[in-house]
Amino acid sequence: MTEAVMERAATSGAVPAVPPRRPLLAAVTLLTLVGAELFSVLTSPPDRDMGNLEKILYIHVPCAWMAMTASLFVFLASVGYLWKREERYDMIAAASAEAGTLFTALTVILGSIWARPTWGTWWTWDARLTSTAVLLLIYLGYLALRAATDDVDRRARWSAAVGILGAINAGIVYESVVWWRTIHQIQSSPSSMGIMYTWGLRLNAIAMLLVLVYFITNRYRSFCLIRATEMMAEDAVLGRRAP
Amino acid sequence: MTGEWGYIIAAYAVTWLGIGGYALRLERLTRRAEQEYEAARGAQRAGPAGRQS
Repeated sequence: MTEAVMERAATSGAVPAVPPRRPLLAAVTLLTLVGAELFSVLTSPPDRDMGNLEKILYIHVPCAWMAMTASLFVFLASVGYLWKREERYDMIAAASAEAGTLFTALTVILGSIWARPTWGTWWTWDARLTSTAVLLLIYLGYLALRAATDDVDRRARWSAAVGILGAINAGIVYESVVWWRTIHQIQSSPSSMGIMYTWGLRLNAIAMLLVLVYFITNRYRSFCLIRATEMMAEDAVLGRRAP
Repeated sequence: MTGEWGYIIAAYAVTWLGIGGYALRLERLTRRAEQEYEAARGAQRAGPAGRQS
């Protein structure tokens, strides 16, 4: 027991400072999310082809964007860890991966709910859908790997490798509608949509970005607290006193 | 489109359940981590004598 603690204490770096709670961010995030959803649901006119079902896209599309954004954070933090070997990068990557898993799962479920009445099926092996499902599996694999490995440095290195793989797949998800033209429509742009649809999407994207930032900062804080507690326990076993 | 609002309500319900559920889980996790952190800090400040008592 003591040897394992000593080995871990010797291999792991300094614990980053525990960031403060952010209640203002939580309040602003909640208000923005409620406001953006109410605005888009109440003000957007029914679409010519899909009727009111376009209202699902105000949450499906921002969730997909946040899944991709989270994978970018995982990628940057993973590269940061492999380069600097500082534990805080691993914690940021893990916090981003958890939020990314949630947003990817929501993207798949919401897309499925939208597809049933518009495409006539809950699921099809379309390139965009399949690559998004693969991204979800990579995220789940990332979390399972972390749960299965106790050694801090080994867990961080292996997680970083999977995180980089996930980011590569996120690039494939983004380009899949261009590379393989199947049932999923290509990326929209403000020039191809009405002003009300554009603003609905923009506001919900801002709200979901706040949700993502809130989740990552809060989870990062909990990782710092857990790691600091572990290190204090290690200090106690090794007989070190508080400075 | 018949029944389209059922799909819309289901989609928003799933979103709020997902986001709200994870937010609550995160809050519980953080509170527990805070309590354990404070307890460990208290024990560390007290030193070996404090830990034994």
